[in-house]
Amino acid sequence: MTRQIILNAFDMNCVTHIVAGTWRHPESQAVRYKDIEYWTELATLLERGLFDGLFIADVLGVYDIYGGTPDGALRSGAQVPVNDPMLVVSAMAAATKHLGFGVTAATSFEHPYSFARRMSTLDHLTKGRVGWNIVTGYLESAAKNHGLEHITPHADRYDVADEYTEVLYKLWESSWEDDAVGTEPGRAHYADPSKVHPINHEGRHFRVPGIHLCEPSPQRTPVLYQAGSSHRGRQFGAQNAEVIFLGAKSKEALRATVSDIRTRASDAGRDPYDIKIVSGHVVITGATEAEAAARYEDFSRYPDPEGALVLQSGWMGSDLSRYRLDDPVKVADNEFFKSNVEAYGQGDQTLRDFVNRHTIGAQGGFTVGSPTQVADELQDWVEQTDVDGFNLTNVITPGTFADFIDYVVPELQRRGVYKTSYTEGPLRHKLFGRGARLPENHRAAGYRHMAQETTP
Amino acid sequence: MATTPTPIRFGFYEQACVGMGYGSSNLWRHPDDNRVDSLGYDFWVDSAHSIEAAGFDFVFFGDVLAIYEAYQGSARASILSGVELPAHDPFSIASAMLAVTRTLGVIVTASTTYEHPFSLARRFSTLDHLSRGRIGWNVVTSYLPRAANNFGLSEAVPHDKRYDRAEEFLDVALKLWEDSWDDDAYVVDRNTGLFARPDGVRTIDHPGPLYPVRGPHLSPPSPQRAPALFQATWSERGLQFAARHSEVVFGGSQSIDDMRQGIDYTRAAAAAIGRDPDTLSFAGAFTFVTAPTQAAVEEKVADLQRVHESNVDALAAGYGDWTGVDLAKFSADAEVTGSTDHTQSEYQNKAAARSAGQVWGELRALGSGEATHFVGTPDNVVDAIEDYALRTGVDSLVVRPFLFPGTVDDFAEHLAPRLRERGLLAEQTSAPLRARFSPDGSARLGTTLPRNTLTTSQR
Repeated sequence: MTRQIILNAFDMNCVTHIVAGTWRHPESQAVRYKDIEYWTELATLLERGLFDGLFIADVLGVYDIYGGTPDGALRSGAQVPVNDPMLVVSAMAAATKHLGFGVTAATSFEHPYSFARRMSTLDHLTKGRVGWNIVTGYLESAAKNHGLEHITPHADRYDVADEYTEVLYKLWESSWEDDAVGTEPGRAHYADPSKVHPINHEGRHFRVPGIHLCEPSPQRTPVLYQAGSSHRGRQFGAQNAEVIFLGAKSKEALRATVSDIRTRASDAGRDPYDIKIVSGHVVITGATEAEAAARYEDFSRYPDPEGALVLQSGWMGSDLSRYRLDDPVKVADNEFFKSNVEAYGQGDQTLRDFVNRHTIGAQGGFTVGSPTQVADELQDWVEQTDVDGFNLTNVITPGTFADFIDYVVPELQRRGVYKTSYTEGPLRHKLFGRGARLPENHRAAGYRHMAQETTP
Repeated sequence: MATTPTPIRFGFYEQACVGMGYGSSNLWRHPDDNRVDSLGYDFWVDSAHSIEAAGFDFVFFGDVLAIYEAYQGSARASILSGVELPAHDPFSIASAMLAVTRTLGVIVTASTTYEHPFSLARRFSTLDHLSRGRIGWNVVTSYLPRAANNFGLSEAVPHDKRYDRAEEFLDVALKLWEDSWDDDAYVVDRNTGLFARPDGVRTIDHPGPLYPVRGPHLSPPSPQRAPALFQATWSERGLQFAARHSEVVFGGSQSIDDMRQGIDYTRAAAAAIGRDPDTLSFAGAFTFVTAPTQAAVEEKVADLQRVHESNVDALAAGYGDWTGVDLAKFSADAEVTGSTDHTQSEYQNKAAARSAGQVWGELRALGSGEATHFVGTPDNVVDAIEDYALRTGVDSLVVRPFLFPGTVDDFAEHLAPRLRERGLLAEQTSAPLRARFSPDGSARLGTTLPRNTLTTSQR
């Protein structure tokens, strides 16, 4: 069968996720993010388009690098206010049958014991449709909200993430054996204690002796998403991630990154294609080329330059208010968002580029065109770069997704590169077709029998 | 003391587990019980619908963060019997239940010992927005020593110290909810593009010592701002804390005298620190068995009793971690003793000055010897409820279910119509949760609670 394209919708529990200013567009529903109906309607729409997942980004601080204050972020609603991503998932799951949900949570700010339970609960409630986007947190303001003076250095954050995931794998994969909970309706006992094991984790950052509080959920470990594309981030991804999100400045740059990640996965003992790689893409489309162009013209009246620079300053870890419009933006290496500095902060872009070029096509591919033009372009990205699919950034929500579903999805289906119905079963099975659980060659599998063996 | 009936708000006790606590751990085995299906969202969506339709005003979610293992010094009995297991996260379940209802309030238990105030504050704000003001927080300090171990602490924080931590935790959370955003800061004007007014949004710069938090809060003002603040407690220290910080105090299954005394004590403690005692609301809890005739009641009790006492280890396992008493250590005639760092009020009510034999006897009986176990025909049970409410002055009562959905159905069929007739059932409303309990019907905290005031520069 022709290689199938994976599609995720990218959103956040706030008004301005990536594209600043377009919340003001009359069609935009972004300001309804506080209503549960916004989310259930979005989920229903995405399921109509057979999207693989909805991916919800998150931060735990404000973007206050631009000008040294949060004022610009507040004026433009740039990722602030931002409500909790996890709490909209169960309602969306109740409104859908197949859509997957990727929830962002940082390894820096919540204890793994309670986090493990939160995810297991969602995996049970959704019948195995939940994924976790593993981030280490790049905002210093978030660190300050959690009692730290400064952000933890990048490399140390990943060391913590290594141990954090180890604790989670032990809780998710090894604490309860599959048949620990009985199934007979009239049985006398609920679970068999000899099949439930304390994990006895003693590490540098965490000490967790207990058993997991949840019985095995359909997937046990949620589908593991990751977006860090710095060198340390890629290494972590190669060992842990099942789906990796990449930004893409150009096809050439993306091809190199994809190839590097697949090699690293292979070095970590996995199949290079055990990782689905999806790249960020903005698609603006309509029934015809002219309609798509008109749509782009219309959207172009709304971007908010200050909001765009607020977000870019956060992603660069550098105050872009210090540059004049035609200054090249060259940012010193820092401890915040390394891969973004590597991609965009090397001095080959001016501030004007950030204001003009990146306000709508902020972080990745950018295509304006008719359904056939868009389909051609997406297929070309797949062929040229070896990505598995796309993470569609919204320009307006849910309009961007509705346009894509109405115009582009049928064209992709006609070409046989996009599914015409969902595969039954949990999210992991839908993505990889080999069951609900992590495969034996994944890092987590190494912890699978550990607790069993150490329990007398 | 009131003499004419005041409508009571009825709550339904829930826990995201199969084997419920408070002495009914075995009833999931009853053939009519469907809690074994409680892992998926459809169970909770159906529950939310049926609880709301039955006339309940709110659902109260209990929670634990460790497995019960005081009994026999091991988790064996609780795993075998599903005592408060599994222990799923109530937040995601609350969100699904709120999404499919219009009037039901949901109170979620969350610990000030094991959460961080910054992210917890955001979680509650999110649910308050999503539900349009129907969320409440049961502030607990967590009593299980193993929970401390699971969060990297070598032992549980002692009871009184937990309340000191809780004071600062709440102080931080309230600053985030109440002080960080002005009401008119959230502008969202499509024409001018002004999303929020920076001069109306402030950092809180809380200095610590336990929780240095800078802010600002990440969520704009929600219908209630701070969720309605519940506290399940009946210890002296807990009631002192409640007098300062709580809006609804959940006393559980107290006798009429103990409930009355606790209410008086808490109101006096509130007055002593300059708080209007009428701004405190009190909730009790009860269990019931009812059927149309006395003969049918007796049959139902016998049926439940049979399953209830089918596994005494499960009963002792639940008891062990509420009270800190390991019954396996005591012969029948020995007086039981245990750690008072668990739930002090439970220890007082269920362990103090008792022999192990007495405790076993109470545990084996359906209703666990509780003062608020009401058994009889519908009229008998409604009489008991009315008497209890009148004599204690509680504003709300929480039903602790024996069977699911049997208890909900019995309430809807037998109790709700009679309660309504007698003017005892408060009308359901989509008003914010706080407005249902506050004397002035306000959705916001306002000046109800005494608070550490911010310095001028922070304002």
